[in-house]
Amino acid sequence: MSFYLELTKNKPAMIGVMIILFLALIAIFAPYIAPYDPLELNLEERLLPPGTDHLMGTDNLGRDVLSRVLTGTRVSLSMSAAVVTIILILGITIGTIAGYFGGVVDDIIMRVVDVLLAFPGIILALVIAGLLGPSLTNVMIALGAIWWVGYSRIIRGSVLSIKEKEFVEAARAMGCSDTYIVIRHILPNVLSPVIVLATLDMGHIILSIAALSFLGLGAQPPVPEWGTMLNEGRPFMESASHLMIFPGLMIMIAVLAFNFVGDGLRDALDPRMREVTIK
Amino acid sequence: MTFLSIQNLNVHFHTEDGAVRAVNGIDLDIEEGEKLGLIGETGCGKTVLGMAILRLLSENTTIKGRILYKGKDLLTMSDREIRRIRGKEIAMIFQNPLSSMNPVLTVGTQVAEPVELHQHLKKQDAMQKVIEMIKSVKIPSPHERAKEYPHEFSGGMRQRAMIAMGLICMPSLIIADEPTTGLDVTIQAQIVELMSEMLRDSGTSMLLITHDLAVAAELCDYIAMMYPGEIVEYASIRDLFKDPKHPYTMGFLDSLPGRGLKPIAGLSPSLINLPVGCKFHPRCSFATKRCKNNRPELIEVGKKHYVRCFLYD
Amino acid sequence: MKKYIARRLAIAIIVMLGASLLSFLLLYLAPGNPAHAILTAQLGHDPSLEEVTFFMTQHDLNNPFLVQCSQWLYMITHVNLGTSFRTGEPVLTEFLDRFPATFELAMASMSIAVLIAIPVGVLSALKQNSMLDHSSRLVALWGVSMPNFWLGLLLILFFSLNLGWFPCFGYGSLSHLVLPAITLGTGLAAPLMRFIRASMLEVLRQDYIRTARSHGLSEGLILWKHSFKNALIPVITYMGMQVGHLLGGAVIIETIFAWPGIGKFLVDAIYARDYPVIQGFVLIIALFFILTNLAVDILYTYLDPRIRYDVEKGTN
Repeated sequence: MSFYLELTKNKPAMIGVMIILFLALIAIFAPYIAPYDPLELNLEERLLPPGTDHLMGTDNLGRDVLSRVLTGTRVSLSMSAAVVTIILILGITIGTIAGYFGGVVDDIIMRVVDVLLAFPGIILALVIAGLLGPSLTNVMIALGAIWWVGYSRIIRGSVLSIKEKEFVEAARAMGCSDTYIVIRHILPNVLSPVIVLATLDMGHIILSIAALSFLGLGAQPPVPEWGTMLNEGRPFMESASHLMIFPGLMIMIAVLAFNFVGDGLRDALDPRMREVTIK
Repeated sequence: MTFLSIQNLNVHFHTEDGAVRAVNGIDLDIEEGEKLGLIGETGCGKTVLGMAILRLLSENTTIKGRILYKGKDLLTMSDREIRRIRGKEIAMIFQNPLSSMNPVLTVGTQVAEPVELHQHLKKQDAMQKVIEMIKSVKIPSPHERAKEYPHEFSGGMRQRAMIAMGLICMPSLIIADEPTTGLDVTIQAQIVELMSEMLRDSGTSMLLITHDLAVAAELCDYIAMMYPGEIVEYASIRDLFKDPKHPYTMGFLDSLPGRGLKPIAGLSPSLINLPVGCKFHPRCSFATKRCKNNRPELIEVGKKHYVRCFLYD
Repeated sequence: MKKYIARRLAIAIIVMLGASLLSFLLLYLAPGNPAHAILTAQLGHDPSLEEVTFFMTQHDLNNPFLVQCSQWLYMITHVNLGTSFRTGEPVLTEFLDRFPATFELAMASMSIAVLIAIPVGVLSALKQNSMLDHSSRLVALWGVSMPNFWLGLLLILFFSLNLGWFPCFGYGSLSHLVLPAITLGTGLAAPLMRFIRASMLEVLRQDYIRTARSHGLSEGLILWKHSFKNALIPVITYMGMQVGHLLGGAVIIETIFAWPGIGKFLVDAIYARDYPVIQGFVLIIALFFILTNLAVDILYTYLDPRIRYDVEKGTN
């Protein structure tokens, strides 16, 4: 995995890694760092602009925005990580089964994948989350249920190409079971593009969770999710515009960080992307 | 005035791992009508040399020296001037004809390109010339073939198409980069015969870049043996085979199938970490202390026979 | 070639069938009794048992699963997508009424996206590693990372509420179109620009570019004759795939800007649990998406002679 070394040379990627670590720290230590209780109402201090007491101001119920934003980091990162995990497990498992066993199993799985891919992702997630009932868990289920398809296709493709290679035949000749072959020999080879995709998708998923929450279908008040906060701040756009700025900024920073890293990983894995051309 | 004169050419690439010194101080002349074979192993810089002549190298290269064509320095010409020479007076035939042709344009369109550009012909007149050219490179059914795409051609036909592209404007100098590499042996023979025929009567000069000494022997008058970055021997075909002077040349000849396929010990040096002194000394059975520390100059050892070796100094 | 198209069409139809089934099944995702939820929303209070029963009979919700399923499939084949619980109008009518607004937004946004992305992407590739390249890549990355609903809100905040240049919601005039189109358009432009740049770079490093140069072609002519066509082929496929993102983005943008298109209507239907509309709209969108992808596949085959060759030889 010497490409990790290659990654360290990529400045934006390293900045991204640092931001992600920083955000992770915030997420872990949020309860300790937050100056106020993110859920505590204080109706006398509503809609205060950013100031010394409240660095990011207060919202329409007097809650400290900074504390909510910090806690929101915890919500977003943990939810996104959970979704990505679900997606990876589903995608890798189903893709491997389809690729390795081939035949009818493969056909059925691929048709299911095709049907799922026939719907624009966000719209399907929207509908599923909406029908299941607005809640963060349901958003996670919705996203998990549709996002795995891309991964399963990639994994299936890689498995198909590696399946035919000699070392797999050798393993089989030695009497190794199918599961063993898959785990020991095939998976390590197909994981690299998946890692890149998963990193980039973390950003997309954070955005999707925020978007669905913004539409009222995800995190419900009083949970301090960034998208929900933007939605709550909408009626007060003119009088308290600071409510629109900070949560959105956090979403952007988080997504940007993952995109930096994802881009860097992709460039590091693809030697052709290097800037110098020698003929 | 020499037709083409390369003087003290240096070509360096800048990479993350260091400077790649592909061409180091090469002097080479080609007379009008002469056919010179530039022989060397893969990675010795011969393709770089060929491309440098037409300034086809990418931008992160440092090129020093002069390349005089009919007295004018190609390296200091304006863009417009060199474009007038490319394809028309000096043309290049590249290796890998499949990747060297645009997959979404027909072969006919591509063969027509130089002649459309330089002779300002209308589409029909250009296609006329294209069909003639395709015929002369012995591709059957030229009218149908011209409308086909590169991936529909076989390897040998593609190479012929590249030759057609190169010769259609009847250039004075043709640079052919590994025109037979990658082809079946029988096809190779056909290509060699084709090139021999087409060049023989037209008085076109040629710089043939290849690692295949046998092919060069068929097509060339003179040979320049290249070892990473520099010329180590220059002689007529006859002299090279009869009386090779440089140990590398001798080793090269010994490695030919006809002579026993004896390999030269050791590996070609990397162009980033070239040895000090004589570049060949680590692999040379005649190496002395002098060879280790000093770089030999090119010395004349016979009529139009030069060698770069302390054995003769 | 015709066989290829026929085969793809057949697969598309199967997928459409699957999509219809899926959109039907969505109904069953919802917990609780749909009649109950809808009536609660409509009446503002808990409905009585009689009201619920009446509603269910009225809308055939009492029938067993398979019957409902086949009813749905039957309806679809007769181009009947049911009736909205809320408005009482046929779902198809509601869709067609609102489609023009979404189409307008989509066209405006795509135009903006293409007008920005193509020149910037191409120039960025031509002048790789220049100041222009680095800055445009950064801007594009920022554009990809920025939540488009946030951008919309910020634009409203700035240009509408603060500066008063454009209205912040509604439909009707060109100035109503500006902010939503810019929001959606820039969101599309960012990834498109990155893709075009990558595609151009891939083409520019090909050997045949060098061959063209060796013929004496000027850089401009090389660009036009050799680079564009090759670089644009994958871009067209990509844009076909982006239709999905376009629709998804439109949904959110329409909601923010109260743009009376199908996206907003769908979201409203989700809030109100207007199941026929949800089912119907989702199905239509899916069908549209499937057909777009099919069209792109076929177009791609025409544009790239290598694929065309494979197809005609039957290896695809």
